[in-house]
Amino acid sequence: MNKKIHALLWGAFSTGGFVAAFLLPSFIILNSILFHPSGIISSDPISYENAIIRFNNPLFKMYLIVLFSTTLIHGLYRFKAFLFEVGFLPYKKPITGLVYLIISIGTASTLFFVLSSLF
Amino acid sequence: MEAPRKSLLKLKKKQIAIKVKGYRPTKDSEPYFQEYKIPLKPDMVVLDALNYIKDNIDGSLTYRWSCRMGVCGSCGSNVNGKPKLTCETFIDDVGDNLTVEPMARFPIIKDLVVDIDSFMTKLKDVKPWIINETEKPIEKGENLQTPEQVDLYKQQSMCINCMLCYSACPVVGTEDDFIGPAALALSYRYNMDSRDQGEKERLKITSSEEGVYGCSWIGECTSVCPKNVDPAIAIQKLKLTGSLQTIKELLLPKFVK
Amino acid sequence: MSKEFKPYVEKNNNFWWLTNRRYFTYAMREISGLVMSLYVLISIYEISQLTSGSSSFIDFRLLAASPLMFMFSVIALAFTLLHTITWFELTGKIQKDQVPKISGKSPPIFALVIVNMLILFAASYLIYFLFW
Repeated sequence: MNKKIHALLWGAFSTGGFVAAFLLPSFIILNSILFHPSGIISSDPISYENAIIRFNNPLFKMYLIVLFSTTLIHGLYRFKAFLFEVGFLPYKKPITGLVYLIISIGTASTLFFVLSSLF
Repeated sequence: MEAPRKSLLKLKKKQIAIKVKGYRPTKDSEPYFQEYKIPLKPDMVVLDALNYIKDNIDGSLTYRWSCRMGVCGSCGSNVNGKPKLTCETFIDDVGDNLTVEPMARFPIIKDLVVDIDSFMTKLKDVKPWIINETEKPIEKGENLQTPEQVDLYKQQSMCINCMLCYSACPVVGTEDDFIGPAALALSYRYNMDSRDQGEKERLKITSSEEGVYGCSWIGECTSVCPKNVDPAIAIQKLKLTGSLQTIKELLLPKFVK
Repeated sequence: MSKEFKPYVEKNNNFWWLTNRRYFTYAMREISGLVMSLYVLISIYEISQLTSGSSSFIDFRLLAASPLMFMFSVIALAFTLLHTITWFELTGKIQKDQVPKISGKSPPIFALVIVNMLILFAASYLIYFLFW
C-alpha cells in the first residue's frame, strides 16, 4: 500500500489539474474581477442577498466543494514537488505533512461551511 | 528543412578557442578549465576538436567516444552549458569560442569521463528486455508484428543510452534514487511491445516515488534527446497506466490478474 | 570498478530554474499551484464570512475592494491561465494518441488545445448562466 499511495495521489493531483484548468478561471473572473465591489461593471451579483441565494443552491454547493478541494490538492502537491527540486528536499517530511494538513483543513472547512447552512 | 549551416571558415576564422574541463582524481581537489587554441577544419565537430587536442597537445585528456555518428551514446558532454553528443555538435553551430565540460549531474571520474554506475543499475532494475511467461519454441516460428504494433514502441526504442536526459533533469540532480528518464522510457518501450508480457512486473518498479511519480514533467529530457525518444511523454503515459492499474486493484481486486 | 579515489560530485545548483527559458516557464507553472491554492484559501475565508451574516460578509467585501486584493485576483487569474494553457498543451500530447485518427494521422496538439479552450469557454458560460 505504501508504494501504491503515490499512484493514487498522482491520480488525485491529475484530476485536480483538470478541474482547476476548466473551472478556476471563470470562478476568479466572476467572483473577484468582473463584479468587483468598486463597481467596474456591476456589484449587484455579489451583494450579500445575491451571494446567499447563490450559496444556497445545492448545485453551487457541490461546485464549490469540488473546485476548492481539487484545486488545493493539485496546487499544493505541485508546489511541494517544486520545493523539493529547489533545495528543500531535506525538509521533505515536515513540508509534506504541512501540505496535507492544509489540504485537509481546507477541504474540511469547505464542507463545513457549505453543509452547515443546510441546518 | 533546416537552414544551411553558417560556415566559420567562410567568415575567415582559422582557429577556435576551446576550454575543456579537466580533473585528475588523485591530484586535484576540484575540476579546472584548460584552454586550447586549435586549427579550424571544414565541418569540424566538437569530438574532432577533442581528438586534435589529445593527438597533438595533451595526450592525457580523457573522454568517451566510439562510433562518431550519434548511435553509440558514448560521447555525451556539456557543450556551452547544454547536454550534447560531441560527435554531432558542429563547431559552426556553437561558435569558435566554446566550453566543453563533463555531463552535469554525474560524479566526475576524470576530465570528461563521468561515473555512470547508478544509471546502469537503474536501467537493469526496470528489466529492459522481452519477458515471457513461457518461451515460444523455435519450431513455432518467429514472433510477428504489424507496422502498427511496431509504431507503439518504436519512438522509445531509439534510445541509445547516452544519458543526456539524466544530465538535463533537475529531479536527477536532487533525488539520487530517481530512476530517471531513459530507464523509464525503456520500461515503457518494453511494456508496449506486443511480444512482451512483463508490464505488471515492470510497473511494480516504475509505479513508485523513485519511478514515474518522481517526475514533474519538466520536459528538458525530451528537449535534449538526440534521438527524439520523448522520454517525458513515455513517463506520463506510465503514470496514467500505473494510476489506473492501482485504482483497479483496489476497487476490483478479483478482476485484476 | 575499484575506487581508490572518490569521484568529484558537483554541488547542486538550486537556481537551475533560472538558467534557461524552458526551466523558467516550468518554475512559473509550478508556482501557479501555490497562487491558485492561496486564492482558494481566501475564497474559503470568504464563504466563512458569508455564512456568518451580512455584516461579516460586508467586512470581507471591503477587504476585497482594496487595490491589493484586486491586484492579487488579477495575478491569480494570470497564473491560473498559465496553468490552464500549459495543462492543455501537456494533456494534448496524451490525448493525441487517444482520439480517433483522421486519414491515419493524429490531430496536431494546438488543435486539441483549441478544443479544450472551447470546452473551457462553454463551461465558463454555463457556470455564469447557472449561478451568476
